[in-house]
Amino acid sequence: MKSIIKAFPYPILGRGDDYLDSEFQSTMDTRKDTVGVDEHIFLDYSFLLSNEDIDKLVTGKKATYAIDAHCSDTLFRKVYLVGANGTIEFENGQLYGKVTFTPLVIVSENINNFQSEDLHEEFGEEPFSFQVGDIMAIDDPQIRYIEFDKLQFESLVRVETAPEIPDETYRFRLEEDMITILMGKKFRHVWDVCREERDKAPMLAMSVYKDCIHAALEFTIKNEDAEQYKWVRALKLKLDSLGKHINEDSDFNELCTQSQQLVAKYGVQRLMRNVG
Amino acid sequence: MSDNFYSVLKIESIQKLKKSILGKPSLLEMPFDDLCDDLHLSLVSTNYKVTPDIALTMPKGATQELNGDAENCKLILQILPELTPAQATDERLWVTLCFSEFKDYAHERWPFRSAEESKLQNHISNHWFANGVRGRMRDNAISRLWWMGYMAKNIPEFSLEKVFDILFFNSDYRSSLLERNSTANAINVTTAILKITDEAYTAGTPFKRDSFRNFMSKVDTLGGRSNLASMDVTSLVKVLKPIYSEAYATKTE
Repeated sequence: MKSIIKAFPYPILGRGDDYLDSEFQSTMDTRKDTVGVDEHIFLDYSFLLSNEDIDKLVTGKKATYAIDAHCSDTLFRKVYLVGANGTIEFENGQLYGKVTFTPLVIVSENINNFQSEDLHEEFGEEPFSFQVGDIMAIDDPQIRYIEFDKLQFESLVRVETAPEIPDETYRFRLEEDMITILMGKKFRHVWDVCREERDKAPMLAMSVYKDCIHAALEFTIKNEDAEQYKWVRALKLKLDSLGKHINEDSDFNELCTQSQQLVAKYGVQRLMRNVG
Repeated sequence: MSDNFYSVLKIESIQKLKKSILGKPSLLEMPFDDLCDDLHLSLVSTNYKVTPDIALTMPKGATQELNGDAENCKLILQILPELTPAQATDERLWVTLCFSEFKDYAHERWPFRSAEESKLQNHISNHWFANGVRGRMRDNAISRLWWMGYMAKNIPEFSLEKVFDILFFNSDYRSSLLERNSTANAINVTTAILKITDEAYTAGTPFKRDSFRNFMSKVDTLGGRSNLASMDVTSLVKVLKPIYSEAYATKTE
């Protein structure tokens, strides 16, 4: 999803259909490597630009490829003016949590009389002027989650007895760094007894833990600021490591299936072993 | 405090502590060790280094001149000399410091003065705990000092003293500039704005809250068109100075 939908006084490659056949694409990969005793983050990038008119400006140093790196947790924001490919190194501790890398082509010298044959006809035939800092092209922002304390998602879920909720029920508290499964008194008793029994424990995973994952996935989809919580970041890392992703358009059944798969080894797979 | 790796409350213990204190605010008066014993709180070792024997200055009053913030921003950088921004996102560190080493300071700096008891819970959540970016940057008694100090330390064209002189001249100026997640987070943009405002003060244009807010709003608008963070400080000063003058020339209510 291209992030720029507001009106600009000039065309931007990568925004809607400002340009008809031209493309601006980027590839970005992050990796961690040890430098001395510290772990640094490296961003490997490369750009592909198919518009000749903008490409000429880049070659002529009037515009430049750039990567806008933003990490709201560490209040880090820096725009790197870069070549068509390379690596950016981030020092130990500069980035944490959600980091957004936005690929851009930015004007580095004022430009008058810019024209491109590939522009949408609604822009007319009048040339455009660009000022230093104006954005000429943009690609989808790439989001990465950087964690150092490597807390496992499973370690960020806890159970608490909640006398204030109906005795035979459970619910979830999600707006904290840990997920709390709140249990009514009687349910907690059942939980404590059953979780120690080989044939009953999987049932709990298939109900309580499955519901917990379902609630967590739904919360993550519905809350823009969800990444502020440790468990959300740990969940996303876990999904990443399993090659899975959270689809924002998932319906109930899709979320339910994903939740079942995530708890399968604690639930249905154990039951299958028990059944033989 | 000892000069070694610092132990912080576990996440689960922080949640337990918060729930207990919000339910019974008088627990704030209890010494840290007693709190740990009574509430069964547990600690975990970290690689955060805390320098011993440096204390924060106690505030002498509530005003900008008396609250000691500028001095304490410098002191907290000495107390936590190797802390990285990533580590400084850790609520466990800030809550532990608030409830242990700097409990007296937190009490003095953020006394609960309101007659409305209903506001007490928010007061405790804000200043003794540190949830989210705003909580860390603006509210928590200790983390706010570190984050302001850290940002000031990273302004390249001014000494730390000079940055604090400008920033702590007016709290509204500081919050408009730093306590927001916007274009101004880029160091070059912050530096350019500091230069412009410093020059204006020196030339006899005093800070005006509405005018400065108007200016920052225009900076954000401009940041929607141009990527200000991509520009160097000199270019930024050239672009932003007329906007500053215009904002200050506009009559505000």
